[in-house]
Amino acid sequence: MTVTVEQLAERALRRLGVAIVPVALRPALVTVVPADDLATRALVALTVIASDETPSATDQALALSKVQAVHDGMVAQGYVSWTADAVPQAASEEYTLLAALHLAQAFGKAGDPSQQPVIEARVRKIALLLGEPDHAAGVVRDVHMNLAARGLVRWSLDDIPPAAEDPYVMMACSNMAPEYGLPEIKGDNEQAMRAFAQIIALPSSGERTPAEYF
Amino acid sequence: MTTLAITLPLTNVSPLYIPRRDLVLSSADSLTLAVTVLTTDDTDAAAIHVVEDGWALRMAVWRDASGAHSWWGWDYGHPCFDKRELLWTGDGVPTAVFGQFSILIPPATMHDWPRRCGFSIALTSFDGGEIDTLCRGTLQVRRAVDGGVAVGIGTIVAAPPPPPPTVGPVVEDPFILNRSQLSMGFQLGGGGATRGMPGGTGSPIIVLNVSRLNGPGRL
Repeated sequence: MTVTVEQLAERALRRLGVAIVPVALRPALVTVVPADDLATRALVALTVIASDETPSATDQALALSKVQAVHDGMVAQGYVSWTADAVPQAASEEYTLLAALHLAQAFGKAGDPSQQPVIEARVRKIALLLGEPDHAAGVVRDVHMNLAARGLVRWSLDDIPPAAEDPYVMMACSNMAPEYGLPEIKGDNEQAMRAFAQIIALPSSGERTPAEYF
Repeated sequence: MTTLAITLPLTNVSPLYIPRRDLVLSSADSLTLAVTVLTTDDTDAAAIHVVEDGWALRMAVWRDASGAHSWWGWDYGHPCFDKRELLWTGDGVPTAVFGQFSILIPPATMHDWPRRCGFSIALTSFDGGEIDTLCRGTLQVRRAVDGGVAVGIGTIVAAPPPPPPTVGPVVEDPFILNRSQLSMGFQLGGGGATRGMPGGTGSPIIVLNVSRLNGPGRL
């Protein structure tokens, strides 16, 4: 049984320190939060209402517009793929904080604008990681296609030999590192290419190879 | 009996390369090659479906190197393996696995093959009108002398996995010997050029002979 592309992808993410626990061992995150709820949570965060109170229609509408603006900002930056009415719970706290930040002035509260890029970066990372397994598997496939296009493989994606697993992981890490703002691990690519060359090198047949000198 | 499994895509990743698979075998080997043919080189690719009257999988082996008298094979100073004398062909037999064929190179077939051969595996239409080479490569035949066919050999099966370790009270190994059961003898000899021994050249080597008094055992 050879390793699957998904397993190689997970090993690459682990090597980068991006996702330590394999997808299969993590609980599935399926809960989403609608924009209305996020708006209410932002008002609670600003202590405009208590947690057991219902906001006024105008306050709720204002908060909802801020949530929508925050979401549109995320979409415009190419960070997220979900809709404002289906924000993953994993990112809901960040959405609430951003909406509260934008609402603060309207309710005479002080907000700290320096927190915005920090919170947005968290949303970006969450969005990256939620779609990560598929993306990382795609990167491993790209590594394979690149090698195949150069005539450097003696196998298909379905029968990657165990000896070639680490070089695949190293090259996938090298390709993915910039996406997480991580530096490329020095020498990974070179070491992987050297390993591939060694794995596909044929031993000498012992057949005499004649040469001609001019 | 050598069994190898390879997966070959029907569609090449690059138009510049025919997928390459190299094999190193012993001349005494027989080979069972399980070839799985997929539509593309992707993990979700479908296996091809071979209908009875459609296509067949054929392996061809040829003499690749021109051997000791290789003066014909030159191509602008590069050795050119130009003999391409066909040595063997074999057809793949579809197996129960979808898209998989089994090619058998019988025992003693490779005895007379040169050390360096070329081979290809191709899908060929029954009427010979179309051929699609799925892979090509080098087949290195390492010289070996087989010991003939053994008589009474059973079926080769994978050994069952060892039982998981059990946690329980430590049972004394019945083969552990105590001092009273042993006889020991010392043999003194010249040290010679023994490396790593204290005392240097000329120091005696002590050979400790240990035997069990009441039968064979182990330490």
